[in-house]
Amino acid sequence: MSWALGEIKALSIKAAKGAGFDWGIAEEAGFAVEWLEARGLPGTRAMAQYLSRYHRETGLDIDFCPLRKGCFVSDTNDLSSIEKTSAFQPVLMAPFIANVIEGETVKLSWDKNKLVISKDGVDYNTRYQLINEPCKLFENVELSSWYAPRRFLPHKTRIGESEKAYISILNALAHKTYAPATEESRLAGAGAGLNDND
Amino acid sequence: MIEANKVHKSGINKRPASQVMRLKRMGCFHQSRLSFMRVLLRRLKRESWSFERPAFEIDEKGVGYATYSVTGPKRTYTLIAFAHDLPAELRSDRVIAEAWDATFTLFDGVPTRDDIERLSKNVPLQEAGRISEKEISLSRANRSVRLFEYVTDCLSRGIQPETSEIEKVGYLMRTTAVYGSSKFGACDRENWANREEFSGSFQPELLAVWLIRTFAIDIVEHMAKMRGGENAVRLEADIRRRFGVGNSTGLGMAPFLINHPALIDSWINGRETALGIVCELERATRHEISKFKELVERASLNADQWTTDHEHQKAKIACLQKDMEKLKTILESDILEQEKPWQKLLLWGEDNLGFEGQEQLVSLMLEPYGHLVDDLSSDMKADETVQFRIRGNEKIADLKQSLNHVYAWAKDIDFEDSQANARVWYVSEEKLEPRLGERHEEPIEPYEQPLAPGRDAKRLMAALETWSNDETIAAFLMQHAEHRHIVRRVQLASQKDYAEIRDNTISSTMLPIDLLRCKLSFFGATKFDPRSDRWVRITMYQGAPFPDELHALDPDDLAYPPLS
Repeated sequence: MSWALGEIKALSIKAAKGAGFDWGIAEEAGFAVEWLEARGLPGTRAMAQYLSRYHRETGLDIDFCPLRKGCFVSDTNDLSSIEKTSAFQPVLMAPFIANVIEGETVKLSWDKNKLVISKDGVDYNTRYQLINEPCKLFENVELSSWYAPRRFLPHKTRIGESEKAYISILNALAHKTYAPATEESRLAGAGAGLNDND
Repeated sequence: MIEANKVHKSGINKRPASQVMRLKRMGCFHQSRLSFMRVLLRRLKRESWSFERPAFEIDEKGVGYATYSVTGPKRTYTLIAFAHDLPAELRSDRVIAEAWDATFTLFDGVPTRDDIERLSKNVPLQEAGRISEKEISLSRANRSVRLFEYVTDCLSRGIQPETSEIEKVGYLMRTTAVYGSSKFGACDRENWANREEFSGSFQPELLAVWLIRTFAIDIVEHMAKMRGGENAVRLEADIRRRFGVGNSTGLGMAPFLINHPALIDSWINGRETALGIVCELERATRHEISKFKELVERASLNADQWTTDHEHQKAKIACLQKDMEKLKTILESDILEQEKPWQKLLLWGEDNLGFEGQEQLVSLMLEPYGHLVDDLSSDMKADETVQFRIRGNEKIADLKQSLNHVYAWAKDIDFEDSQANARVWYVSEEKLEPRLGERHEEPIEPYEQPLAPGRDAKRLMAALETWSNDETIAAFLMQHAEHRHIVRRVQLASQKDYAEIRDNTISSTMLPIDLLRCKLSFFGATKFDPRSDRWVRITMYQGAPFPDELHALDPDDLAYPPLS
């Protein structure tokens, strides 16, 4: 069993909304997951981990939110605000950084992680654990210019069975955006008649 | 010709969005040359696609599977149809149904036995199953019980069904959902969007529906043969063509037009550009005039054959029928012999016809000019990722200007009024489908979907009042993430004339069927039959050629009923 990228993008939008973000940021979450997965990075699990912590801890400091930071970088077209910063799940900032860099290559690093980002793809040393479980705050996130990588992680068009547990987390969060059904809403809300035989 | 169009397109006079993008008018749109079904059939004919039915493994009870393969210049696609024996009490068009008379998937290529085996365990389950990157669409259909039985009975006894009986329903099967683009695991749209044969919008889904129409005929003839044996006959070609495919479309599709502003702009812009091109013509030739007049007669017949029990639509059809009479009368004058005949006729229509008649006239005016307008269909699509990124370095002044340009109409609406904000678009827990509820009667507001751009734009205007013009949008959004969704939308709508509907989509008087009608007209649907204010039955491909006769017939000529 596998999932389509567009399917997980749509799910991530709902999950981010369910976790407590406004729709506009939630749309960016969808964009980010699709961007990461297409380039071979574990966007689904990164997002699931971050959103579940964000949802669990009401008032989790939004100054360290990788989506908010990413949006600001993308909106201002300026990377300076994240040259030295602190953030949860820093990998989630990568798609927004890519919006800004045009032809350049940059390196996003935290702890032992070094993620090389260019418009055409990303490179990453897979010996390290890119995603932290549970999601924690890194106070040593750095962004710097880098040389173009000789190889990129292979691009992907599907999300595999290995992500099932994380998709379940996203599903549970997305569920919070659905209104509980009542018999009245079943009939009135969808506007159907009682008999469809003709 | 393509080059000539390109020159034309830039300077073309188009109807303004303030006139076109109103729900009352959008709810009166009719199919045209640019409708996606017609675009598809023109291509299949032009490129001489071939058709096969490699498998028809269906038993005497009508249970089994069949495959329909179509092959074009580069690729083959296969519709896999699973036929089921459905008890009447389980037959429901609603999205919460769990069983159907037939279920389908459009396969990218030629399926192996293993593929069919895998799909036989998933496609019949629809939403509860999973499909893969090899499948492009997923759909299901129910029989029209009455007509299916009547036709089976006639054919089994060796006689053809009465056309009057066929007209009452118009189809043997109606689809109740056609899913594509990554839904339930299907192939992502990006993976096939650049294929030449799918240029435009919804081409694979409508290919599936066209093949489903053939399957519906095959299975009724099969059942007649099972019942009548040697006595049974097949449908005669002229009678067979009177069967379209029905479709039930509910609220699930209504938010689509609001959720895909760039795509909707491309559709409406295509049609309005075509209209602009035709209106600029200095003269109409005798041949063009006679073709137009013939099609007016045939569209008039279509209006006469169009039945519904829905009071609102009944009144609209009655108005359309009157409009068609007025149109025939004015055509007895020399209006089309004059200079700029089409512009004159369009303006005459605006002064003398209702919206149903005006929009029917627009569709008809494009008919004689396929050589000028058909190429526009290839631009009726959108890459929605292109304008997703917010231009945060633009100034608040730019945003205010865009708001004034696109959302001036919303300023006059008091969204605090309980009638103006009466509705909430939400998604139900049950089948994850969009629904419409009453804000002041149900506890659904916390689940509201962002489908009220007018209200949200007005809220944004209020929030911007304390911001000075030279500050940036990025700075504003840093403090006001709650407006991020509508800011993105305003930026897009400021660059695309027809991206935004100029009406309140949560008003107590809003009719979801207007949204459905607009979308379905671009598909090429006819005979809109609302079953309430929020779902509609339609007929697709009625009159159109079948695969085995496409080479010999002109699909565009068959888009209106024949005169005799």
